[in-house]
Order: sequence, then C-alpha cells, then structure tokens
Amino acid sequence: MEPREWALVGCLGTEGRWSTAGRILSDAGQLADYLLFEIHDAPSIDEARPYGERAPLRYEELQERMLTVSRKRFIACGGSEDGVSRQWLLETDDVFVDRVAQFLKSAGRSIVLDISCMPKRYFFPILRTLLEDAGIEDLAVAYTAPASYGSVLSVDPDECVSLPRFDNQSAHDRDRVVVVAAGFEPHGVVELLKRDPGETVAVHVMLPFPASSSSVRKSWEFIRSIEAHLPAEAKEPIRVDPLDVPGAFEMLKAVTRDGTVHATLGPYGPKTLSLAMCIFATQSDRTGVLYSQPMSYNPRYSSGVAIDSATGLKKCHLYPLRLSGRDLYSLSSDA
Amino acid sequence: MSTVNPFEELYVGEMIPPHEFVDLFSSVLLAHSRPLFQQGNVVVKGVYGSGKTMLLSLLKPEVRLAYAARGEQLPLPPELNKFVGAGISIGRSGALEFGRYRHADEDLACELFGDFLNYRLADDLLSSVAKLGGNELVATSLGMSTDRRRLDSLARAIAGHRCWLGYLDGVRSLPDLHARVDARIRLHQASLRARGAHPDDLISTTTSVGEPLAVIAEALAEFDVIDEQTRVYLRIDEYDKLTTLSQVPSQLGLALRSVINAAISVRDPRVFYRIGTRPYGWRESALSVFRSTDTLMQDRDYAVVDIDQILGRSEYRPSPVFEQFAGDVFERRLKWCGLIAEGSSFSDVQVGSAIERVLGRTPSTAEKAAGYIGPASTTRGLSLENDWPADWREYLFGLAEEQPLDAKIGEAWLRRQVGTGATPTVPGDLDVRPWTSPSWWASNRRILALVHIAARTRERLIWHGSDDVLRLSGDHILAFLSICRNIWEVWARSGGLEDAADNERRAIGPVPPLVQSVGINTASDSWFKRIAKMPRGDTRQLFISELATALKRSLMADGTLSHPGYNGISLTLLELSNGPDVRQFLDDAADWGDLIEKDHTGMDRAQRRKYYIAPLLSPKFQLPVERRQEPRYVAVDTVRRLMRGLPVDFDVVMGEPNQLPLFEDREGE
Repeated sequence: MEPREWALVGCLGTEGRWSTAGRILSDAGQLADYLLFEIHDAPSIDEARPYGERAPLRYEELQERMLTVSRKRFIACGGSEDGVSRQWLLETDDVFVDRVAQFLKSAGRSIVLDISCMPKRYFFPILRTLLEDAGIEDLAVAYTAPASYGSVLSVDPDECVSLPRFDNQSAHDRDRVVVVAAGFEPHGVVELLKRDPGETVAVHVMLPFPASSSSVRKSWEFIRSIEAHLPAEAKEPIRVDPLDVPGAFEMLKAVTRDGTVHATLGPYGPKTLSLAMCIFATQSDRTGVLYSQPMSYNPRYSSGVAIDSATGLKKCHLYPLRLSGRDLYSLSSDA
Repeated sequence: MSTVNPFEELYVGEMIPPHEFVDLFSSVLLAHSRPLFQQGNVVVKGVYGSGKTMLLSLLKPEVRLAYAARGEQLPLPPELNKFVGAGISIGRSGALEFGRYRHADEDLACELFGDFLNYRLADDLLSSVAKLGGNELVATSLGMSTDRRRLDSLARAIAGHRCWLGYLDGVRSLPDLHARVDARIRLHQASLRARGAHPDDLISTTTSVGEPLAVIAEALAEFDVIDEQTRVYLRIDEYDKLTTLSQVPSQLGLALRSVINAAISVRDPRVFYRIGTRPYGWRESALSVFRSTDTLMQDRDYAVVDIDQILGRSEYRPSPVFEQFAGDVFERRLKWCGLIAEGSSFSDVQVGSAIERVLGRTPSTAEKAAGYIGPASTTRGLSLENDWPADWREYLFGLAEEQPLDAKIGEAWLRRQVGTGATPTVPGDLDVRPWTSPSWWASNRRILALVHIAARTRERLIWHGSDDVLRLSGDHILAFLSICRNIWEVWARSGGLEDAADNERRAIGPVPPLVQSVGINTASDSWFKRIAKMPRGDTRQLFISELATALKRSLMADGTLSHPGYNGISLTLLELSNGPDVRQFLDDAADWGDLIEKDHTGMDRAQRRKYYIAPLLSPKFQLPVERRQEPRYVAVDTVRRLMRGLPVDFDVVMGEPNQLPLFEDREGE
C-alpha cells in the first residue's frame, strides 16, 4: 500500500492500547488529522450527567480519574483537545455519527478507524457510515491487541437489542441463520437464539481459534453457558482465526448463501470478528446485529499492548476495507 | 421410570414450542383472566417469569393449531374461544428502532411509528388468518372461509381503502398485498438506518395508527373470511421496553408509547388490543394519548389482567390461586414425562395433591427448632446472660427441654424486660409463659426465633415440604419450577429415583427432607447467580447481596427480637420521588423479580413502599421468608450505598428516618 496521509477516528481511553495506532501513524509522518471520542459511562441516556445526585456506576469514579490522566498525557505529548469529543456511552448514534460527518468534511479522503478501545455500539454505526460514504477513497480499520485482559470486562449489560443502525427484522423470512461469535461474557445471547413458531433457524457458533489458552477456555465456557439453547448441529463450533477478518467474512457469506438468507449476528467475540460482522451486515440488507450493551466498562478492561515475539513490534493490525475507491469486501462471489 | 427431569426446561414464555405448550400450559389462571378473551382492550401485567407471556401465547395462531393437531380446542369456554390473534413484540419487530435516536421532528417520528405498527400488525394478521384458515378443524370452529378467490377479493378490498392513502393501489391478490406490506416495512427500516432522511412517499402515505387494522378486521367479516362473532385481538408485547431500555431517551419512549395509547383510546369495536408489559412499564401517571390532551383511563379504555395481583403475593402464605396454579403445573410436568399416565390424575394414584405427595409436609416451626437442637443438648439454642436471676435461668432451661422454640422467645422477652429495668417474676409452672400475652407478640417472633436458634446451633436453615416450597416460590411460577428442578436433580443424583417403582401405579415420593433441603439451597444459589445474567443485573446482584447481609447482621444482633419485620426495607414515596435513580433501580429490581414490593402506610403515617428480597433468595442468605410487622425504614442514600457495594450497618444511626420503636408491633401483621 503506497503511503498516504490518514485521518484517524478513534478513542481516547483508559487502556494502554488506545493510542498505539495513532502513534504509529504519527511516527511514520502519515497522521493528517484525528478525532478521538472520550466516552463516559452513564446509566441511561437520561442520566447522562456526572454522578452527584445519583449512585455512580460501578467503574465511573475510576474511569473519570483514568480518563483525566489519559487526556493530560495526550496533551502533554502535543495532542489538541480540539480533536477530542466527549460523549456518553449511551448517546444516540445520530449525535456521534454526526460528529464524524463533520470531521470528514475537512479530514481528507483516507480514513483509519481505530476500534481497539471503541465500544461496539459506536464502531458499528460509525463504520457503516464510513463504508456508505463514496467520498472516502481509502478506508482501513486498526486494531491493537492488548497484552492481557482484566478479570471483569464490563458490568450491567442492557437487554439484547439491535446495535444502532443494524436492525433488520423481517416479517417474511422464515428461514434464518444466526451466527454468534463466542466471547468472554454471554450476556443476552439466549435472546438472540429465540425463534418464532414456524421459523427455521440454523445456528452457527464462531470459536476464535487459534488464541491464547485463557481466551480459548473462556470461549468454551461461553459456549457451555448457552449449550442448552443450541440445536445439536450448532454444538460443534466453527473455528475462525480471530485475526483473519477476510476469512470470517467468507464464513458469513458461506452460511448465508452470499447474504441471500436472512441473518442475525451476535458480535460477542473479538473485535476483529465483530469487524467482519459489521462489514457483512452493512452490505446485506437481510442482516441484523443484536448485542447486549454493558452500562459500564472496567477501565482496566485490558492492560499493555501485545508484542510480536519475532519482530518486537506492537501487535497493531491494519485491515484495509477500501483502497483507491475499490472495496475489498463484497457479498458477490465474483469479487 | 423415566430418568428425565420433568422440570429441566424452564421455558420463559415464547421460547416454548407450540406442541409442548399444549401439554404444559396450565389453565388455572384463565378463570382469573377472562377479560383477555372478551371484548375490550386489555393490558396484561406481570414481572419476568410470572407466566404473562405464556398467557398471551394463547392468542397466537400457532398455539391454536397445536391444540387442533391434538383434536382439541383452546382450553376456554366456547363463548370465549372465537377469535383470531396477531401481534408483535416491540423488541423483536424493529419498532424499537424508532426510539434509538433523537428525531428532528418528533411528531413525524411518532406518526411514522404508528404507520410501522400498522403495517407490521396488518402483515401478521393476514398471515394468522391464512394459517388458521388452512386447518379444517380451526376454520370450522371460527367460521372461516379462506379459499383463494375470497382472499384475493379481500386483498383488493383492503388495498383499495382510502386509509392507506394510495400506497397499496394496484394490489390484485393476497400475495401481492403481503409483498407490498413487506416492502413498506423495509422502506421504514431503510429510512431508520438513514436516521431521519425519510422518503417523501413514506411521509405522504403515512397511515393513522390503528385505522387500517380496523379496516382489515371489518373486511374479514364482510367477505365472510371470518364470521361476525369472531373477534380480532392484536397483541403488542414488550410495551415496557419503550421506556425501560436504557438506550431510549425516556421522553421519546413516552411519545412513542402515546401512539400505541392512541390506538387503544379509540376503543374501536372491530379490533381489540392486548398489551403485554412488565408492571413498571405501565404507569397510570404516564398514559398520554398522541395528539390529544386525553390520557388513557382504566375501565373506560382498557381492563387490566395483573398476574401478580391474581397470584396475590400474601404476607404470610402463598395465595390459594398460586397453590392451585403451581399444583397444576407440577402435575402436568409429571405427566409430560410419563410419570403419571396420560388421562389420569395424580389423585387417582395417590391421595392428596401432587406437590403434597411428592414433597411431603413441612414441619412446624417448633419441630424445626427441635431438629436444629437435637436430643443431645436441648439447651444449646439458648444464649442466656450470666447475670440473669438463677430462677429465670432454671425456668428457661427447663422449658427448652420440651419447647426449645418457646424458650428462645422467652429468652428474648426476658432480655427486653431486663433492658427496660423491669424484674418480672419467674412463672411457677412451665406451662405459664408471660410473653404470650398478648398472643400475637410471641407468634410474630416465632420465625425470627427459629433463625436465631439455627445460628446459635450453627445449623443452616432447613427447608422442605410443600409449604416451604410454595412459600419460597413467592407466588412466582419460574421460581417454583427452579426449586422443583433442583430438588429432582439432587434426588436423581442421590439414587432416590432408582428406588421408586417403574410402574405408574406406585407412589412417587415423598422426596427425603434432606434431599429437598439440598435441592432448595442449590436453587437459591442459582437464583442469586441468575440475577447477574438478567439485563443490568450486576448492580442488582451486588445490591441484593449487601442488603441481605446487612439485614441478616442486624436481625442476628437483635437479641430481644424487637423487630421481626426487619427482613425488608421501606422508603417513603416522597423520598423515592426525590431520588429518581433509586426509584428506577428498585422498580427495575421488582420488575425482574429480584425484589417483592408493596405500598403501605407507615407507622409515621407516610405513604411508603416496602421491599423484600425474593423469597427464593432467603435460603442463600439465611433470612426469614415471612414478612411480618414493619420493615426497616431507610433513606435513598442508604440504597445508593448498597448499590455501590458499600457495607451498611443498620444498627448505626445514619440519619435514617425516625422509626417509632415503641409501636412496631401490631396485631395481625
């Protein structure tokens, strides 16, 4: 890929990896502009105000402190607060997508979306908007792997509903495919597996593999927790390399007959598999995405940045989705 | 004998396959929910797992067809059986998407929401008619005629009506109509994804909520697709999600609900709405009607079928209705697994109800006390002060040999007397017990005394028998089934099932008390873990744990048994209104079945609401289940502290509301 000047959309967060992609671009002299979301937990859209007269969420106080530290370090390194947009976790998507739209007016035509620390309810509608913007010539998604995960990732998941802009329940599609990516916390997955009388539902579980032994163990625990609700044929999961976004996309195409069958996706697994689901669902008007959004994230969701033992480089992966105006993922088998 | 656990599947509402529904559905609640099958709009309220969705499922065509496949009608009197049902769930139909973003023109958004509901319900209604009409038995019973020519004529008539503002012009057949309706729904979905860029043809052909559905219902009768006596019920389930989902701005949620309310307010005799909601999703104070200054009024615009009220969560005992309901469900499950022959009743084989025969009798409180203490050292349940008069010590030790529970109550009474400086005269006879006058003083303290004895003897509280199981269920059918499942599992693991005959004429049970107790404790642990698996449940679980711990600590520290009601908390309605975050949290907890709540008038004459942890959690936290006397008064800040997992010591004054200690006892409470 020839050098470009990229505009970065990402998050200013509490985890060590929030700034990795930006730093790499900046060190390479390829960071033209940036928009960083600083996302704050809140118990509901209506309670989107600092706690004072209400009980703070589990991690709110720690989150505030850690975000303040991150912000100060960012500024100390030459970052500008003009590029930081403070938002509530549960903010309606029109607000933050609109912020991205405003940013794009002056950001150039090469965009990197860093999803490393971005909640799925943010990155799904944002990526959809970017993919649907024909004015963007180059689009890539960055993901930085952490060195380790916290023991508790998040708490108080909300009810399982569609991710913003990814609802697509049809009245007439009686044949449906459900694909769930196994993750660490199966909140609301049972809701995803519900079926109406008369519906024929084929269920597939994606097992991220190969992965670290602790991740694999947690994935199997996830599957075991929903096993009673899985049909017999779904109890043997499909192994998908968590870093193989194109492979995951092809798997989705295969089980949905290139998107011709109505599908419901559950992005509970690694962000990279969620990325494949987002790309797929954006292209398929017969696909919805359901998820249980946590109310509060552990600020110590992860720590550090994973290092490639062979190269000594940080494991920051870049997935091109569009280059020079050409989309690299397509539902059509001819692509 | 079958080794399958009859209670393994804890179906929640719509997940139950129709053919299993026929076997498992209990008609006990039907007698108390007749409005659901009569004319008029009905709101069905019930906490999670109360049986609300099962009841609403009876309106679904698939369920009627499942009964027909058995050659049966729905379990309803003939005059209530004639209806066609259709419906949607707010969460699963795409309707919720209207509440996911702020609209530039909220009124337009509401109109489009109404239009979306119209098309969704129309689609399901037409599908339901086709499904039901395709079954000869059902078609005959509903007076249906669904030949192709008739249905196509129907479709043309429906499509030609002005209510659609021309959108359905050109429809020639029923498949055409379905396709056009589906296209409309997809148009809405595409428009919602675009977040506000509504196509002009969508706006210009927006239908008025409810009107097209009434038109369809009228046409169905006019074309003799259904006869004139057949009613049309339109089900909208998960109504509460519009305002309880954290991701929907509450003002917008209320506006969207007002659209549904508008359809109800018309009271159109051609269609009747069935609204399914959790209790706090239907507040009488928030029933505005879209584009009207009117609000919905119960009895005028709708009737209520309140599952929780029907099941009557009594203070002391499970309600008779719940007992009957649970008993019927229990027996059906056993039949479903072949443990009772089909066509026979449990009482054909064994005397008494199924629950009583399988689980046996619950021992009295006195018997339980004797069980904790055991025969070896009858006085080990007592904790007498060293400086008490010797004659009193002798009296209480003597009483403990025969009546350990009474002795414990006596101990508490004496401690209370001594604490006030009194020196009562010791009775000369063990049969004389000064604390039994008034009689309700002692009777109100029996359960708490038992808990103290168990703690003193380092025994876990024991639960077994039909009364205990029903009491721990808290009038909640899902809790009841969870208990049964766990008891059966332990029984199977202990080899108990092997001992029962492989012959349905031999009695099943009773399950040994120890097996039941282990099963109940397991069920309690599972019920606690379940809290965190429910939406927004982590904080609720933490709160329940902290609250229960604080209550237990306080109850155990109370050597005078002064406050037997302190296994619950109470807040004034004023406090709750000043702490909306706390109010919403407690409402949520009640809706999910983690707390039982009830309005009451406090000793301070204030209007209050009291909360108790779900009875099935009592074994885990070793708390008494019975709810007697006045609960502990607390402030919202205490609740906030508990929500954060911070310890609370109820016995340290923390600025709590003044609870009048001298008047906490009232007869009969």
